Amino acid sequence: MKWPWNKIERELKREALVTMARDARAFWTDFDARARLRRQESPAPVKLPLIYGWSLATACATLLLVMTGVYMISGRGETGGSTINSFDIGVNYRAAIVTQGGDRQAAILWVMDMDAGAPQKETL
Amino acid sequence: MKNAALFTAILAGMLTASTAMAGGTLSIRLVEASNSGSGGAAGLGDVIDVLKSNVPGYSQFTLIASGSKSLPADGSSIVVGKYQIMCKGNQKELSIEVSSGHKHLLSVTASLRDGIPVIFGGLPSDKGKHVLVFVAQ
Repeated sequence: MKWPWNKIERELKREALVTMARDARAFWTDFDARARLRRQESPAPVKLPLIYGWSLATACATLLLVMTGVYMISGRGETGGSTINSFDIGVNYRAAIVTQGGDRQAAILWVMDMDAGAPQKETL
Repeated sequence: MKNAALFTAILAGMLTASTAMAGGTLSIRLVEASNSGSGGAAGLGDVIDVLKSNVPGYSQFTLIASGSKSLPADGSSIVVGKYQIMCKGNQKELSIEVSSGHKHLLSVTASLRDGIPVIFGGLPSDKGKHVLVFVAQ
């Protein structure tokens, strides 16, 4: 059997043309719409100015130093128990004992026979 | 402009964090040690073991009054029960003065660690002894 290749080619081309062809009105409408669009630049990457970068780094470093200093001075970072460094008792008493007690190393000042009703004792 | 606002916000946040880190709270509790009654240890859960093992001769510990001050303390007084308590300084070097009425009873300089109490005991009371418990957090 001999295929009518020439005829087949013509029909295929005609079909393709019909499929791809656009209505002239639709074409120009689309054209006008695109022509009216404003040109827009693609957004440039946001870059922090160098001055801010260095300022931020300096501020962070300074703050870290200050926080470390405050933490050390306040004694909040130290380990061990609480302590009683000195005491003065303003009334008559028999004896005073300072101890460290318990697993948690609490500091305890116990005053025996404190006379809270007595006149105030002079402190030298 | 946007970056400046961000920068300021970050700085403000860090400053707030450092302030919160620097300051603590000092809790002050007045406890009555006695051998009478069957009072529980309400409000003393964190220190009851220390009190029981280090305050001999008393079996009951009752919370009478409490108060708190922010650290570092500014030297102002707080009334806890019948005692006026003046605190000054930071947690590492805290001056505490205890008075009752117009009588100066005690002056103590102490270093407090977080959550570890400093206890003053032996203050006379009707049923036994008064104990002052200081805890910094």
